Amino acid sequence: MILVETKKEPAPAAPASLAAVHQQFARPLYGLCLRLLGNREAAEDAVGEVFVRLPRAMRTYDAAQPFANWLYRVASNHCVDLLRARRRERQFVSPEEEEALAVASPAASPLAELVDTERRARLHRAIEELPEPYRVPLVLRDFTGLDYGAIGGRLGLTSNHVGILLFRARQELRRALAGEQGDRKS
Amino acid sequence: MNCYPELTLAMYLDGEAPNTLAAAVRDHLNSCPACRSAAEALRRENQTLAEAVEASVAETALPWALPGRLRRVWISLAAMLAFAVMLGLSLDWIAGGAPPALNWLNPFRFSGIVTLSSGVVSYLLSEALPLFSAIAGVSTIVLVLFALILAAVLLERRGVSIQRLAMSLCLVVAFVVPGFAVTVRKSQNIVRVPESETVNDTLVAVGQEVRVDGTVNGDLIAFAETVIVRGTVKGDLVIGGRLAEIRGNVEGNVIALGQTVELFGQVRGNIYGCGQSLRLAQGSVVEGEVIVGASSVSLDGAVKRSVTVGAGTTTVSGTIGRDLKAGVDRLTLLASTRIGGKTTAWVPSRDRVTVEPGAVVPDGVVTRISASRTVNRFAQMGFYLGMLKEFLGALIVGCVLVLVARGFFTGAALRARSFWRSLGLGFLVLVVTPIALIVAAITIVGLPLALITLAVYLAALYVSKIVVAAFLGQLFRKAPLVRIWDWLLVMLPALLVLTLAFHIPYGVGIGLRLVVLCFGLGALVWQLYRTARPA
Repeated sequence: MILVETKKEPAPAAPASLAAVHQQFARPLYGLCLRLLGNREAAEDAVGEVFVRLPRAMRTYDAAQPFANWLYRVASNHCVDLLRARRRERQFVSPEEEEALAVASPAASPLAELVDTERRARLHRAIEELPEPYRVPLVLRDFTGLDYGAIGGRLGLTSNHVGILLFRARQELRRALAGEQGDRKS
Repeated sequence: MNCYPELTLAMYLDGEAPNTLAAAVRDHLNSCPACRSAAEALRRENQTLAEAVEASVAETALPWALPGRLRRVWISLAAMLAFAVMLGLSLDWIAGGAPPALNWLNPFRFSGIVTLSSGVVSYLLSEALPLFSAIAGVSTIVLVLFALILAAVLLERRGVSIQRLAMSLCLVVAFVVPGFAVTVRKSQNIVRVPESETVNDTLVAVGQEVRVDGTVNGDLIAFAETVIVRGTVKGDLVIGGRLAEIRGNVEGNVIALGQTVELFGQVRGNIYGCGQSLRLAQGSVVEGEVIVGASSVSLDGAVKRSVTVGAGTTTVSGTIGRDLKAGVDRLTLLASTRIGGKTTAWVPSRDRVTVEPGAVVPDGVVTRISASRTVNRFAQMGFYLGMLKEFLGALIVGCVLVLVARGFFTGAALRARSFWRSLGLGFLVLVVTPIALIVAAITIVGLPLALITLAVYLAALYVSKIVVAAFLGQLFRKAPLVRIWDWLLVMLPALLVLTLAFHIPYGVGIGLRLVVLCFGLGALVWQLYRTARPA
């Protein structure tokens, strides 16, 4: 998990002021909210709400944990609350039985080949275009570092179900990139 | 050899497989080269993906860097501005275009407002009152209970214990509930207090007609088509109706709202009146002051203290002990007039004041020409001082709001982003709330709630332009506002612009003021809804 800092390093102190917080974290916060909510206006609103609530929320911050992780969790919790309120009428994703899935193949994946800037941009686009049921668990896992149980708790899903969604998200990305590569070759 | 599916490998690599399964997968990978390669490929893929997700989030362009966003905002602002200008010009045309003879129907003239208001109140009292009373009575009780329960839930969420809340509520109720009883009499026809009867309470009388010939040892509150008081009222008299006649004695004050209000008797206190026509008949006596507003005022009786009149036409033939101040279209002092103090008249022109020979007016009538359309208000220093007061007042209130209720206020400023929702919601609240207040106030149990809601409503109307100023100010700022000082700096120029814009002539300023009012009110109500909604 890229952003989970190891326990061996001392946790960086929280910035001294809200202005400093904004300067340092506004961009990644907006990006996180945009990836989770899928809508620019909603993401702007969410970032604004996070900063409005931050002075009060700071009372719950434990200085022993990294400030960045805590801030991203606050923002992601708020976004997930908005998502749940938005989709209160139906389940996040219909539960699926674990299918008899293909055995893993050692063949090279298009994802593994992405190294240059253009391909990275394609991957960013593919992440943005993922359907919400796949995109949200993926961002919560790979950006905020939550485990399956924590993600499931926030989204009202079982750990197994979260695992399936993450797996399908990666499959979907693989398919999207393979499709783009196929189009380019033809 | 049974190889594991890709999903199982993915969960194992994420460290989420149960212990026994993880051990089995680990053993299998040690013995299966194909699965070992596949797991390595998956691990590299996960690594690439995680880095890509992090980069995708961290490298997202901030919204103020996006060209389309500000363009959309400007289009919506321009549309609202055009709507406000058209609305203001239309209102100005209606207000100025009606013939003077029809001023009594013109909703933009004082006499028209009075006529319409008294007509509405009369209709409500005579035709719709029984139905409204029943509905309002039940719904007000339900609303009060709902408000109490909601307040308890919200305060409990914020850490205020129920015990403290209950104690506070008991204290409030103990100080609010009056210590005397109220007698209510309602009828479809005539509510009568005969001459032989004495009511030892405050009496509330509502009906088609109210006749009080007896004695009321408290206040008398009477609403009817016709109200005639021949008896004695020991407290205050509050009258509302089409025709109100006071022929008896009132030992307190008189508050009269009606189309026609006539005093034939004696009032020990003051008279506060508002109606189309108000008359103090010959032989009537008012020991206190008279403060009235009407289309036509006739003072033939005696007023021991001062008289302040805002009217179309005022005719005086009686006695005024102290000063007479009249802001009127026309003032006539007949020969029998006796005024003990100063007389000041604000009239459109000097020929609107007539003093007949024989009238006693010490030092004559001080005539001040009231502001009219021919006077250029932009050339008056008072106009600019008034604007400065309006601007500074709004700025100070804005500072207080940011300091005291920063989260709510700044949230409301952000909510205003949804232009048309805020505008529509604000207009709905603007129109519906006064109607609801009147309905609640008609019932006795709803009166305190109506008064509290009225205070909140008026406060919200004032704050609405400050919310709009905060919203407009933060549009031009590249970063979200995090410090209190940031909010003050963006509000200052926006409030200045709004204050100047509200005084644009030809009705444009009025249209802008109305649109800003609705816009800000809608944002406040939406923020209130979002704050109160359970998470």
